Amino acid sequence: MGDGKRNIAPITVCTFESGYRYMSQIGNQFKLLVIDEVHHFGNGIRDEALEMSTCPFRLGLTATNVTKDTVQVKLRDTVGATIYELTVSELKGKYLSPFELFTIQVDLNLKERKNYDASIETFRKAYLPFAQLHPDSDWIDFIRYTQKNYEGRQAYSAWQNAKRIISFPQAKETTLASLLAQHRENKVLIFTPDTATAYKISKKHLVMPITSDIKRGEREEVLSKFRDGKLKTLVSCRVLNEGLDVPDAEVAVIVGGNHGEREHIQRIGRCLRPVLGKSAIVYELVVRDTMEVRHWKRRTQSLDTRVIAQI
Amino acid sequence: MIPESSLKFSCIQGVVIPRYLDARDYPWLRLLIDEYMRFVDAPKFELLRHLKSPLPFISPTGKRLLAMHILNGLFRAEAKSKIPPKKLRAMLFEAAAVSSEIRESIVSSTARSLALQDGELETLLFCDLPNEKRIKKPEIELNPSFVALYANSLLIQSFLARALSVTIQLEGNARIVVRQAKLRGLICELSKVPNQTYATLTISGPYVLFRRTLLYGRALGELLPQLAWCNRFRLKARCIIGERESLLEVSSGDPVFPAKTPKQFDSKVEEKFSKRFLKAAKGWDLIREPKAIESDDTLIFPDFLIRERSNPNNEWLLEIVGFWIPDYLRKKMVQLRKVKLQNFILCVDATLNCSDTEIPKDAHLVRFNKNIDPESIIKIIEQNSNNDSRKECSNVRN
Repeated sequence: MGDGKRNIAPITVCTFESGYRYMSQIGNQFKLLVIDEVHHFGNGIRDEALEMSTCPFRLGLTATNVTKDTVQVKLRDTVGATIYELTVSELKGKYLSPFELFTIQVDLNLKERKNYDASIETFRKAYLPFAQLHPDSDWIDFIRYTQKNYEGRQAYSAWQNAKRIISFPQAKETTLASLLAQHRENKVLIFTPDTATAYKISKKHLVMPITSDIKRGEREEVLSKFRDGKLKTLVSCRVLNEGLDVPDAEVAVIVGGNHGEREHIQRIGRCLRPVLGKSAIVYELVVRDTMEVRHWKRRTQSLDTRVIAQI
Repeated sequence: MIPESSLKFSCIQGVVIPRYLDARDYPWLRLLIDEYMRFVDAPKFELLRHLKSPLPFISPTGKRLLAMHILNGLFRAEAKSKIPPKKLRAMLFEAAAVSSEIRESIVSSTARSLALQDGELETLLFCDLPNEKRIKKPEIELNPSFVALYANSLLIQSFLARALSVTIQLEGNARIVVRQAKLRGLICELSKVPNQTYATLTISGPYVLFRRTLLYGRALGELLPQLAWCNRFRLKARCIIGERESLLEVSSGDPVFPAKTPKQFDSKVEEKFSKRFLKAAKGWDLIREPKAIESDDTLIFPDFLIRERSNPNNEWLLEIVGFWIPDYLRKKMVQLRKVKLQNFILCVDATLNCSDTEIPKDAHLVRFNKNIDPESIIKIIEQNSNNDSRKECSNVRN
C-alpha cells in the first residue's frame, strides 16, 4: 500500500503514510505487524496507526534505538519492550565493514568570523535573559518565545544566519574540493546540514543531489546509476540517512549536521556495507570556535562509546 | 488547519470568541501582501527565508502567521523550462562524473549539446524542485479584506477540527450542506423542530471519535464555506481547546469565506421550468429550495415552493423526480400524507420510469418529457385551490 496502490494481501507492505491513513479500515485484518524503522514512532501523530491496529503480535526493527524516556514508554505500549539488541562491534566484520574517522577542523575567514560573532551576539542578547528567567525551559519554548516579539524574531533570525555561515564557509568549500579530487575514483557520499548547502555543493562540484525535493522515480534512477558507477558522488541533506537502499560507498564526507547521535550513526552506516578487503573512510568537517564544535563533540562522544571504542 | 498554539481567541464564560482579522489589520496586511509581491518570479526558498526574518512592520504575531498561511497557498510556485530539468541534471552530472575537464568546460559542452546558453543551463538545473520554483503572481487581485476573510474562515475551520459535536441550524439552501456532509462521510443526523422554518444538522466532531483524526476534522471544516450560501445559519460547536471544553458560535454575518457559487438549479429541467413558469404565471412566486419537511425520520427537501402573490397562504410544493419506480412514488406519497401535506406536486420524467407497475392514483402527478409544462402545474393548482385563488389564477393567465 502506498503511492496510489491499495491492494490487501496476506502479506501487505505499507508505507507509514498509508498506514496512518487507512489503518482504521484495515487494522483488524492482520495478525502480525512488522514496523521497520520503529524509531519514527512513539513521538507523534503516526502513533495513531499503531493504536488503530488490533494485531496481537508486533515486531519493531531499528538500527538507532530511541533513548528518550517518553518515547520508550510509548513504544512499549504500542509495540512492546526491547527484546533483542546487537552492538556495532558485534556486527563488524560479518555485517559491517571497518572504517576510519577523520575530523578536519577549519577556520572561518575574517568576514565570515565577523558576521558569525555579530549574529551570535544578537542571539545571546535574547537567549541568556530568557534562559535565566525560565531555567526549566527547552529550545522549543525559546523558539515560541522568539515568535512573540520583534527582538525575539531578530534573535532567531540571527541564529539562523549564524548556522548558515558555518554550514558551508569558504574553508569547508576548499577542503571539500581537495577531498573530492583525492577520492576521484571512489564512490563518495556527501552529507550536508541543509538542502540549500546540498544544492550549493551540487552546482559547485557538479555532483547529483538527493534531497526530499527530488521525486522518487528520479531518486531510484540516480541510485541505480551510482550503483553502476555512472555517478561517483552524491550529495544529500537527510534523505540518504535512512529509508533508501543506498548502494555501497567507500567514502563519506560529513560537511555538517546537528541532528545528533542518531543521524550521525545512520550517516556513517551508509558506507559500512561489508565488502571483502574494504575499509571505509569518513571525514567530518568542523568549524573551530563555533557552535559546531559542541555538536561534533556530542555526536563523537556517543560514537566513541557506541562504535569506535568497540571497534 | 492551523496548530492549537496558533489559534487566537478569548474565552468568556466558556464561550470562545475568535480573534478575527478586521479593518484594523488591513494596513499591515497590505504591507504583508506587498512583501509577497516583491518575491514574484524569485525562487520560493528566497521568500521563505525572508519570511523567517523580522518583517519591516509591526503586526500581531498570531494574526500574521494566519495571514501568511493563507498567502503561502495563494502565491503558488511554478517551473518554466523547455527541456525537463530531470534530463538536464542527468546529462550534466553524468558528464561530470566521467570527465576530467574543469567545471566550466563541462557545463559549456553539455549546454551546447542541449542548444542552451551556459548560464541558462545552470538556471534551469533545479527549477522544477519545490523550493526552487519561481513564485507566481496570484490570478486574483489580492487585497487585505480578501485575505482577512480567507484567514478568518481558516480560523473557524481550525476550531471545528477540535470539535466534540457541531449543531447547525440551516434555513434555505440547506440541501447543499446536507449533501456535502454526506459526501464527506461525516457522522451526522438531520432533524426539524415542528413549527420552525429551519432544519438542524447535528454532526459528531472529530474529538468524539476513537482517535482525534485530522482527516475527519478537515472534512468537517470543509463544510463551513457551504454554509455561507444558506439564507441563514447558526452553528454551535463544543470544542476542546487547551484540554478544556468551550463553545464556539458562528452565524450568518460572521466572516465565512463562501464556497464556489453553487449552481442555482440542479438540472436543466429545473432551470427551464423556472423560466417558463415565471413567464406563464405572473401572479405567482416560484421559490427555489424552500423549507425542509419532516416526515417520520426523514426530511424532504422540495425543489420549489409556488406561492400566490395575492394570497400567500395558497402555497404548493413541487418536486422534480429523476429516475423513479412507482414504489418510490408510492412511498413518497405515504410520507407526504403522514405530514398531512396535500399541496404537493410531483413531476416525473416519463422517459425515466424504471418499472412497469402502475403509479399511485391519488398523487398530484405531472408526467413530462424533457420539459415540464407550466400549464399542467397551474391546472392542478386551479383544480385544487379554493375558488378565489382559482379565479385569481385565471386572471393572471389571461
